[in-house]
Amino acid sequence: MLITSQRKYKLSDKVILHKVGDEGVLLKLDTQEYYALNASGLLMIDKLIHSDSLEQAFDSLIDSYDSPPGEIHNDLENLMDDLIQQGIIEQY
Amino acid sequence: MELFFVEELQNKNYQLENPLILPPSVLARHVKGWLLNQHLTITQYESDRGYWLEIPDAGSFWISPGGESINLFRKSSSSELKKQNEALLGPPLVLALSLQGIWCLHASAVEVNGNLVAFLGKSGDGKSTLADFLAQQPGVKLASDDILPIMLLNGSLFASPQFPQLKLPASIQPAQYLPPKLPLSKIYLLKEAPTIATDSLSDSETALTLISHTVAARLFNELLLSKHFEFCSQVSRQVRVQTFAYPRVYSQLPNVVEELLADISKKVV
Repeated sequence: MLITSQRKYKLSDKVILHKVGDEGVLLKLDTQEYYALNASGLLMIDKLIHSDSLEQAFDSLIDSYDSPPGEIHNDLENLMDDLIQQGIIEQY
Repeated sequence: MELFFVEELQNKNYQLENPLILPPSVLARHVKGWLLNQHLTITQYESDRGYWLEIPDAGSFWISPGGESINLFRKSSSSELKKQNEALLGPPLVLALSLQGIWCLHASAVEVNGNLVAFLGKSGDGKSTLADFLAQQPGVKLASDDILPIMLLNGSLFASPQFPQLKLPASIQPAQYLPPKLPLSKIYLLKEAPTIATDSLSDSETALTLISHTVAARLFNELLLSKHFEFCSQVSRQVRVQTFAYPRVYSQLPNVVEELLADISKKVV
């Protein structure tokens, strides 16, 4: 998947995210499942749900990390696949 | 916010034996758990009139929407009454407290220099044994054997040593000698290991540890779940759970207690 998309993402309605220190914890209310996010995961999901597009989120992450864009691309893609599959984020 | 002894429930905020009011009737969930020395299934109903818990062998408990009152229907025989009293101190009281923003940890605890120190762990991880042994040391008192209510007051974390501890005889209940609430300054997660070692959980691990050691969380509806989640997140920002790994060998207990007290004294002034 090339990250040139104007798609927007948000947390699903039944999901709550709390920041704790530089990490995060997610709760899926309907299943009572909790997920821990390390600092990188929190930053990625934060950019994802607060950017106007997926492309903007990706660009913002490139600015935040020293890692090569290809690596950030893969990490973001993997995280997004997980989050969508788990019903944590959704496109709108 | 105050906690009440069971004896006080009958004549203070908690009203008992009121069978004339229509109870909540919308089935919310069935929750399996260990209660009254057996595996059983609690049936929970909810509505804007509160929460209704049906506990096999113990009867029905009606908790008001804000947790200020518990109505129950008294059993007639003494054996049934004993089970009812025991059950009252389980899910009904824990749920009522949760509705008031007081969350119960499955934890033992001790009081040291006016602060409480809590011990979390799986069943059989030695929470009670360790707390009991610590409480035999000078200046240390047992504050909880099994259930520890915790709360945030003006942004600071407190715990109550006055929750009735079912496994302790009345004469040594911590409520006899400790005040209604004290600052909770340290929380340890116990683990078994060949040698003694302490470590610190991350913020997110701390939040998840508090969540997973909360009593009766499976009874929470979405509103209560979100409040509990917010509470655990807030606590994890001010108290970080420490792991305490130690050999679970009785002969090693004196060394373990010495190391633990040294670690506690680093933080508890």
